[in-house]
Amino acid sequence: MITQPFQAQRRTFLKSSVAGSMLMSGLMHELLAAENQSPGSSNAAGTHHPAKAKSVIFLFMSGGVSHVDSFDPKPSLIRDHGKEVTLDHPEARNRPGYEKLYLKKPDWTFAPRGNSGIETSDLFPHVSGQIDDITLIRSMHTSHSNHYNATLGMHTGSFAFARPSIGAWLSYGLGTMNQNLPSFIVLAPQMPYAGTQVWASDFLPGEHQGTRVVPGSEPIPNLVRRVPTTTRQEMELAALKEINTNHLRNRLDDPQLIARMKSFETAFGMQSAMPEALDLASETDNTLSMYGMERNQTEGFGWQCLVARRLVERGVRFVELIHTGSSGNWDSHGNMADHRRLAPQVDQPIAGLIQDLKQRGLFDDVLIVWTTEFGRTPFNNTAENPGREHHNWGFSSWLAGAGVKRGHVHGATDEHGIRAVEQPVHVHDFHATILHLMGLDHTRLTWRHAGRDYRLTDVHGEVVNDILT
Amino acid sequence: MRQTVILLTAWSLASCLVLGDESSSDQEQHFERHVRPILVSVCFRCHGGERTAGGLRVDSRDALLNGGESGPAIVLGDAAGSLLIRAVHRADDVSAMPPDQPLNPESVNALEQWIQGGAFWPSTSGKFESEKHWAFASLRPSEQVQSKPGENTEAGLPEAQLAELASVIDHYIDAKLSEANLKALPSADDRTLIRRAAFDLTGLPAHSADQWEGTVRRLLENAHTTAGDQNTDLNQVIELLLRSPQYGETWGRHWLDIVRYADTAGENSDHPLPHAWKYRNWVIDSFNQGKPYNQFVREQIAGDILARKLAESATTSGGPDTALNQRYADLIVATGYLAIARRFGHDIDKDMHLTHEDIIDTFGKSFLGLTIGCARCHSHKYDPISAEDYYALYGIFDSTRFAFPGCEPQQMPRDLVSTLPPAEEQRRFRDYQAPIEVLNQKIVQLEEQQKTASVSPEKAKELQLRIAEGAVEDGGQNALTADAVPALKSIVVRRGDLLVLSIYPHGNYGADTTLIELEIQELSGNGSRWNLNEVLTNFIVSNPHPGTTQAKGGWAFLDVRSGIQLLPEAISALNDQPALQAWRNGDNPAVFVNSSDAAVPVWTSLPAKSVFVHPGIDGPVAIGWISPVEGQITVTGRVADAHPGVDGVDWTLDLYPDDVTESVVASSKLLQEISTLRQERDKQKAAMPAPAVAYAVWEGNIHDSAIHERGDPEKPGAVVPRRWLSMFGSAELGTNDRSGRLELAERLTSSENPLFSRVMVNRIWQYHFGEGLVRTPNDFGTRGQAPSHPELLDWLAKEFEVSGWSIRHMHRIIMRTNAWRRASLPMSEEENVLCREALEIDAGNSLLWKHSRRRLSAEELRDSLLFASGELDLTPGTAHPFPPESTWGFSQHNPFSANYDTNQRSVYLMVQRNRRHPFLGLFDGADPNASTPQRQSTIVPTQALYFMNDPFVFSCAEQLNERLQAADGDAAKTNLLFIRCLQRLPSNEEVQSTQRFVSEYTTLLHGVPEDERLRQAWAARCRLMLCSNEFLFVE
Repeated sequence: MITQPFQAQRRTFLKSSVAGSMLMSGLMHELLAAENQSPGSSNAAGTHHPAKAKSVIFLFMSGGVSHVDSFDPKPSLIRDHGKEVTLDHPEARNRPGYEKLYLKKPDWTFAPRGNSGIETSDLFPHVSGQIDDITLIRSMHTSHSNHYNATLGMHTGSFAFARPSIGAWLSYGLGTMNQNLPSFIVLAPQMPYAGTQVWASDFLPGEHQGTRVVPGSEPIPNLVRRVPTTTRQEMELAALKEINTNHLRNRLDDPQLIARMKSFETAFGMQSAMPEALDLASETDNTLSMYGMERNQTEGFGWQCLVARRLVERGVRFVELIHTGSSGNWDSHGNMADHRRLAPQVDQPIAGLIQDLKQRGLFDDVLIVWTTEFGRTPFNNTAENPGREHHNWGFSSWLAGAGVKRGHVHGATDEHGIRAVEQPVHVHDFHATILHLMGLDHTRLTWRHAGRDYRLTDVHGEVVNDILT
Repeated sequence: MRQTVILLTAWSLASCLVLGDESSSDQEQHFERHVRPILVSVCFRCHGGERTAGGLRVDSRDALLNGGESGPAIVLGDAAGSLLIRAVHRADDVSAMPPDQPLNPESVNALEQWIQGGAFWPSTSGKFESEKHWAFASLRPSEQVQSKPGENTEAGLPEAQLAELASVIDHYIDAKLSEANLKALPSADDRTLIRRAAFDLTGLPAHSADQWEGTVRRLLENAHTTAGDQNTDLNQVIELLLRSPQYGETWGRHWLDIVRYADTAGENSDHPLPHAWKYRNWVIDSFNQGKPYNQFVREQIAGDILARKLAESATTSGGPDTALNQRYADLIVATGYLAIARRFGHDIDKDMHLTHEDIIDTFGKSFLGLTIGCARCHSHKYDPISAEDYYALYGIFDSTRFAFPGCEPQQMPRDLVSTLPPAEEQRRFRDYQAPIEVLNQKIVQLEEQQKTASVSPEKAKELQLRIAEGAVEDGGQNALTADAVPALKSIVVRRGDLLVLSIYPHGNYGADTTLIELEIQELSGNGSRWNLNEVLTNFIVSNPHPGTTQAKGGWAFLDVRSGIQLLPEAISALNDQPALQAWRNGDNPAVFVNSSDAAVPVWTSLPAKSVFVHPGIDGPVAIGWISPVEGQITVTGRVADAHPGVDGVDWTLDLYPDDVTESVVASSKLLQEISTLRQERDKQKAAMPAPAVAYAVWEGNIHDSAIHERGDPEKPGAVVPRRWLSMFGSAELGTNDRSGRLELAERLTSSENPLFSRVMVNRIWQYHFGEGLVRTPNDFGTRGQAPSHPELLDWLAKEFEVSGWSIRHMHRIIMRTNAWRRASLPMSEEENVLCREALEIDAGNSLLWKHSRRRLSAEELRDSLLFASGELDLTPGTAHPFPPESTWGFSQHNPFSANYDTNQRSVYLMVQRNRRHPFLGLFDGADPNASTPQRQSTIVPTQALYFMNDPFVFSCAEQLNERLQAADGDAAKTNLLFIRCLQRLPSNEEVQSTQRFVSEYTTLLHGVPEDERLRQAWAARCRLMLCSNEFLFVE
């Protein structure tokens, strides 16, 4: 529901933005009148409590990053390597060859890092170098051991059904801070598991769906002006405005018609705002090297991270970065050595993002979330099996930036990294916490659909207070 | 809730008109947010159903006040003295609740606060408000005239009678208007009404189909000259529209929205449904045929059972009965309604309980306007639907066999339903089936014999002589040379011995394609050589392969996972590549060759002229050499990982005596025979006519279902008999040999069920007016909205019923009302004042003082663009060009994904569940995963980008311009432009402004050839027309 103070603020915002508009100057009155008429809004538009973060950069590692090889040191796992464990694990149940399970030690070495002395492995040396800026959650768990379902769950809180994505909920809850850019942008060079459902708005109004941006000449569909010159396009739009203005006559300032007229103006702005946001020419060599990038590089995770910083600078609420997609990803069944191939692709870019945000004073406004859909089994059907299977009982994620503690560890798995046992954090709790940092109460951010009020967290979720500053 | 969403400025300031969203009281909020979730998730499991622990129920305030065996659970205003609070505090003298673990302090607080505040319960009148809920009551009888049962409403009642019925509707509408002291706008002009009627009934602008273009043109021209007898002509147009094939396409699409139609299954790899289109077309045809609504619904739920009855009652006359066959097929196809339910997960058989939920949820919403789906986990919170009700229906669907679409671990579809009546099936296939059956039996026999002829694991072990072994790392290779492996230098063999090179998988067998080179040389005697590559010629001729020596001996391809047997199955074109031939047992283990002179890229690049093996998931594969000589031999060769990644393989080389070889070879003859018989059978099968099948359902394994406690199929509770909803009397449905679907369909469509008619007339109304009389079309329960005109809703529901469920009849009377014909905008100062006043009182137009302007739906927009361009192809769509089933290998890593372009109407676009069609996604198309009762109509800048820059808009404008350029003179061009896009002639002012635009635009075209300039300017003008608000909105 809209809180009164925000309503007032919103009207002020509306007034100023319309006043500055090229096409719409005469229509401000009607816009505000329409605003008065509507008892609700497609935006919940308003925080429930003061927000710690203005925007989120959500780094999603697709396929399942192994926690016991990265952020969750388990000396007992090394000690007990080769010991049999008896577990009713979803990935081993009724699976030929998996009648017996044996503990399997990590392939990377752990050491204390930074002033906090938090132990991480040498899989992500750069991120480990930033550990004093990070809140590490070692007690994550999730409800499904299948990529599709767990990926859907991590994004929508639902493990089977299509529901709005967390970015859509935030867009609905807060709106964007830049009219010329969508409020929820997804930088995904490849399709993830579960496809576009990952960023869908589902029953929420369509403007809250994630806009997928891909590297290349046309980052979002139809962004590139097809008419050969700007002059021609401007003339066309002016003529269109005239046609639509004549049409509006006698039509009682129908807000739908006005909104449509305005949408062409915004789209015109987007044609330059989006390429400007994606144009890295003004970035210094120093900045590029922080992200491990070459000049003129227009793809890779470094590109995604740097573009993410530029987008949150420009007021985008939720930027999601997906590392790889539904194949060629972190799903290292066959051999954990594949993590060694993937880690360098993201390690320096992520560390660079943290440093860059800090340098620019954005680290207090932006929340960085790093997660994967589930961890990997600290065991396998033989201790010598070089791979690890899907594991949803315990894994690691981390948060950094606005509103979360720095150099902090929350929760723990058991001695072998099998189950989240201390202060477990379910995906619903994780979501509740992110919404909380953005100033939203996950139990109050609702949408009435098919006879009931839906939430991102369904009927679950507890804010993880321990990690908040 | 109204779903029209308008973006006023941009994303940031999105605003919409959400009407009637009542704000709930603090007490209700506290209850709904904090108290009910505890009661439902914590207490319900023991204190929920009919049998409750300690006799206490927690599903109503009264129940809590009455309490159970230990007395009242709550004392109003006295939290500390309430048993419930003492129990959650785990006080000494009461049973601690919940028994397993304490509630967290916040929850305890919430309960205390709630009881202290008087234990607010949203419906204070009782358990549920439902007993007196309007939607569950019988239809109220009306004083007003109705048509009489048995009249030919579908064909069309006499005009006077239709007018009288329409006036009844106006009577109800006008009464509410005058109550509110509101005046309505007068009728819109003819041109507006024709365009409105055309979009309402056919989803296209006016004058699209040839057979009525003349009438419409005449009307349009009249409208600009004389005001003829408006009503008569408009009624004629409505009739033409109702009879055009485009009518069914549009109203069929509405129905497809409601039943969440899609062309893919929606499971993790989103398998295509190559037969789903038949159901889509059945829906369209049903509307065009004027099928009574009750029959339309019955066929969707129980068409297969009706078909079976139909076939049983048919008299067999010998020859094919074309009419019967068609009717039978239609009935089978109708159950696509059930079959197209969404599938879930990786191995969809394991998640059928979710598919059943999807079915029950859609069933409730589509036919009853009830949200039954939530009763999967707990009894409905607001409506009288219990978990028992849910599982009573669940049993019916669980007794039904659903066509299986394929999924990652089981790629091939199965259980598709034949659309031929048994007699016809028999007639068409009997000549083929008997010989195939004979062949099948022979094959089974021989396969049994072959098994016993093979070498047992015990015997193999006993007789095995290990010569050498080794391991190949991932991506690596082992040289088989005397230097590397001394044991290979000299091996003593006797004639008939079997030398076996076995390849074993490591932990992962997935990428274990292994290249084998092998050469055996006789050290004594003739010094003969046998090279494995000699099998490259005619690899699948036989197993063992004779090689080129002609001597007794050769190469055997072996399954050595358990004992030793020959790989039984010859494959002539692995992965559809003729150069790749294989011997295998199932997918794996396998021995295969690339016989061509070039590498073949498949799952990995297979080098030219090479032999490969692939072990099984659970054990090794082997190549054997049968010695034709006695004496010493030496072995050379190479074992190389041909598919790096993941892990490597192990190998062993063993020697077996000749009696092992004899057993193996003896089975070879059998193998040969089996192979011949299989080929013969496959040939006969291929000669059979293609089976006629539908993605449909059939009766399955008939049983009652147990309640899944908290929705978890692993926690079965009490078994519930299959029966109708308790709110409608709990009649038992089905028997020991019938699922109960037919009985369910009969109960559902019975005139005793008031929801059946109310829900559908409300939908019909909504598609004409933009909003239903009930603005929550899928929710007529207590949480839905009450009707704006309850008497009218009931009168319409009754009229629908007595008309024999004729949807066309409902269109005819609705479209004859003044209410439907009203203008959407004021045409005079007086009307302007009227509108301003009305906006103050009824901005949402729920009283219908005007006609509500609406944005075109995604399909209407795309079809209109194609229509304006002249490129719209009105031929009905059929099957989609999906890849053939035999090539499927979809996975969650590589799911099915495609877009098929067409100029046919948008209802025929391929709709995918997991990858939204980009156009349909952008313009608020239906959700293919859940029932869409009403389209959203958002207005967002990315849509404007589409109009500004999408090639489709440009090409439509170009095509339109082609037609314009054929017209003579600017005036004629302008007229044509307006007629094609807006179905009206331009005003003088518009003619002038068009000419002004064209001439000004040409001045911007420097560097463009003279004759090109005008064409380009007109093309730009065409585009602007397609971008205009007038094009996108219906008045």
